[in-house]
Amino acid sequence: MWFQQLFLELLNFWAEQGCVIHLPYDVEKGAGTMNPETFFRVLGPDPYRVAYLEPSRRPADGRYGENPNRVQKHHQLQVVLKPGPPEVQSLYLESLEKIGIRLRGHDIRFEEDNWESPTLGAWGAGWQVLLDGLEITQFTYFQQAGGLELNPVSVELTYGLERIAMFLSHLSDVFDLDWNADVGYRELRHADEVQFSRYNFEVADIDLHFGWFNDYEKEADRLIEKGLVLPAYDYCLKCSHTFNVLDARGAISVSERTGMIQRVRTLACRIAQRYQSGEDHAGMG
Amino acid sequence: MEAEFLLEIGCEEIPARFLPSASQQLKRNIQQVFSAHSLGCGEIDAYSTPRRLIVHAAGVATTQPARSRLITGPPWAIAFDREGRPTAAALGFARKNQVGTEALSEVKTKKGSYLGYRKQVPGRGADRILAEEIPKAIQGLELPKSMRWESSRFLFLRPIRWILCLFDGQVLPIRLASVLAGGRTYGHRILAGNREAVVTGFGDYRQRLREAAVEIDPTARLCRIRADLEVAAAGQGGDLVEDRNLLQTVAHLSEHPGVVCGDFDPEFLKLPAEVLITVMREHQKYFSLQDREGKLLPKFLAVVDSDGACSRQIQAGHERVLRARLADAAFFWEADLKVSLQDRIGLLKKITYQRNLGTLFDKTLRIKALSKFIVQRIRRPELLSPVEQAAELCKADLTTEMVREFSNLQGVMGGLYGGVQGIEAAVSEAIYDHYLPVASQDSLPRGLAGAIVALADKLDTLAGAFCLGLVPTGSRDPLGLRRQALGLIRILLAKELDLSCERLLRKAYEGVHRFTDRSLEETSLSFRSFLKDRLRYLFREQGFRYDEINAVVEVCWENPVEIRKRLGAIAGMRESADFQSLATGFKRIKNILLKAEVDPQAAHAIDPSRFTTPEEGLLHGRVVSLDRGISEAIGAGRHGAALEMMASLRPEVDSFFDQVLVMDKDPSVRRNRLALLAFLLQTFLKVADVSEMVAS
Repeated sequence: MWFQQLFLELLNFWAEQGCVIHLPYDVEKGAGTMNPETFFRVLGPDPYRVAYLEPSRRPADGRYGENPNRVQKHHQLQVVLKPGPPEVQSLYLESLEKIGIRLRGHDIRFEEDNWESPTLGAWGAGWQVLLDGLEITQFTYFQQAGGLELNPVSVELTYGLERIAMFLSHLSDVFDLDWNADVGYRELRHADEVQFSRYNFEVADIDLHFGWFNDYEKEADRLIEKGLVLPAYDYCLKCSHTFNVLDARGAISVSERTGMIQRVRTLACRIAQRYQSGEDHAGMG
Repeated sequence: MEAEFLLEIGCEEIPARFLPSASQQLKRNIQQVFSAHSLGCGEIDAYSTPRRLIVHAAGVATTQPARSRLITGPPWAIAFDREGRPTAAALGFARKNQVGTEALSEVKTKKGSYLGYRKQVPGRGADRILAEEIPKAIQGLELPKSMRWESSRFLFLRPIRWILCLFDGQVLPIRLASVLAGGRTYGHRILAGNREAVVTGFGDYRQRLREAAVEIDPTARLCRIRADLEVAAAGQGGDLVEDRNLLQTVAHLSEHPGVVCGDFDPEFLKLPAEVLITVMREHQKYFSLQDREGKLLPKFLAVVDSDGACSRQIQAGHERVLRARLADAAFFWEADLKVSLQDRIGLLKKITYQRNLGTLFDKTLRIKALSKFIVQRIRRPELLSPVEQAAELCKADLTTEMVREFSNLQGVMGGLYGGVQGIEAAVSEAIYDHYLPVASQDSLPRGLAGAIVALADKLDTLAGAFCLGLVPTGSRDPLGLRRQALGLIRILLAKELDLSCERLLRKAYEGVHRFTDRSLEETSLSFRSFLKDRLRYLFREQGFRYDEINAVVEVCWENPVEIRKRLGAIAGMRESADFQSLATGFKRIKNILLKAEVDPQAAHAIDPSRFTTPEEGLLHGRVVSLDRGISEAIGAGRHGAALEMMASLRPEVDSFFDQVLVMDKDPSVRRNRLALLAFLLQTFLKVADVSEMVAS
């Protein structure tokens, strides 16, 4: 199966389940969860269903395009079902059949894996779904986000697309994947991996990044005060990504690390609270 | 009438680590429902799979037994007239209870005779009771890490999706969260397509689930897995690398376990076996195989939740995953080796050891100082060089990629990297071992150098925690201090290191006291009672009797080796008649001193000229000479002899108590006698507090 076919099939499947098919968010982020379509939508009482593709950046995972399994930018397919329906596990398994995984011939396991994001003040209970020992999905019942207790509880499904694609094509090297009939994953992605690995590990200007981190934090803070939580959240995301680059660059000492994570978390929690209290964010549905 | 009770709580996959406890608790809580409501029952069993918690009880009474309740009425004397006819009082009482007077009888109480009626109260039906109580029993489970999933805000380990609850062949309509119990169960999610089955009783239930590829009994699954693993290992011409914890875990991860055997590239065997085994276990829950010589084979066994069909395909999947994992490990191994352990020491300055206890570099310096101190105390100067080197390098591996990925390899990796980087064998072995023992049955450091660094590391951890007041309470021991202390004692015993823990702690306190306001005395006091508990536990495990342990631990808690010697001596002596009687006399002395408010630990002046009876003088003379003898015997490690000396005092002690009244009217005579007893007590306490001994 081609890479693009994989996410198209999944998006189609979840569209049929009543999901809004959304688009990746245009700010760098480490995971699909950080897209405002998850971060804000899981807060508050209103039911919602959404699915979207999300390129996720993890600077420290870069391997200069030399490792067959690790890349600094991979693709997640994120589904949020709020509230999670009782048949959610069967729905999920059905989605696997849809992309050509004949469950009867495989070892499928839901093994405990409680997801936690210290920077977002979020955690959930759930599993990693293992397909013949390969982790293909993070399956989470969201318990808290932005430090707030969630009610109703959303189910979040995060498919790791590269892994699933490799599994389906019996490949051991991500760069051997076909994006479509004509273009390979390598053609599209390899240069990006090489260049960003160099940038993140060797070239990124440390002083500039530290400065940006402070500035983004300041701007987020100012916007929270004005009740502009959506723009504020953009700057919170930028803080998070700037931190990740500095971390990959080896510029953050262990003691600084905790403090910086805490600073991003504080922003996220304040934004969530401000959003939930619903005072000043006119125009949000 | 007896009936069968069956409960199955159907869930989304419950974490393996919580299953055993949840299952046992559920059984216990339901048992309590039966007994609290006088419902007799036969066998009660608990079963579990990742998707179900099951309790089955046979022979449950269908109703509570009828009870009779006694109601007393007017005094017997006024209940009947002379002709024996019931009086108005009796008739009124009968009417009130809606019975005829023939149902009334005489009841004799302390206050006299009354007219009474024994009312029969029928028992309630078990179905009604269970329908009310079972939900409470389930909500009464103590579940760690519970979660919410729906608007009822019900808390459970994982979402509840169905409940099967039968009593006497009927559905008990209990409700948990938004789920109403029914008479259906569901088969294996994949192998039986989650097939629904209507169930009439336990036999039927078990049969239907077997047909639907679910084995409900975790023990049966475990046995099946073990057998399959062994067969598979033999098929590969190898032996299974035993791992009981892993076996337990995988038995709780499947409803229909099967074993798949796979290979990995022999190229990866260049990695140490410790690393390979850890990668397979921690990441993938695979078992490893070794050949007859104990050398790892390039193979693994995966326990899957699947039948034999398509096992080739499943195997290929698992092999691909493991290849990626091993490639990561190989990458870590190569990358880590590029930086020498020596060069890593500086990196420790940037890592906090624990809040308020400095960096790992600080801890390293403290371990080094303590190790040196221990070497001096045991007078083994030839060990100083390897021990100091090992102490200095022992935490360096915490900066490696491998240990960051697999924290259980700390120490081990330092030893392995050190070995490759050409560090002296004794030093790398000491680094490798210094974290031992990790679990209670774990092996200990092999050599003395490793033992010394291990002691120093544990002492520093303990002293640091205790000086900050981080004392374990109840089941809370987040720093694993109990394990550390047990390790400390076990190493001292195994290496026969004649060292005082008190002295060691004092030295360790020097290293950490700048982080705290707590005084040495306060720190040492809480450490002492903590250590005594560990000593009691450990010597009980070794088969000593608790009273013997108390007798010794109370007087020499600080030195485990010494404790063991004395315990051996006491166990040999305790059956002798002299010793038994001495224990009784000892208790008596303690009580007398306690009543007279004399501090048995303080020195009291004895004036022989004030003795008024020959027994006093005799006893005094013997104690004076024995006091020296016992001290010498203990100093020479002859504990049996010291105890025998104690026991030899029996005639003098006996005749003292026979002839002498301690609490004489004359205060100076009394004081003198009490002083003599205190002296006697102190002499004996040099060996053991035999007043703790229980007469057999």
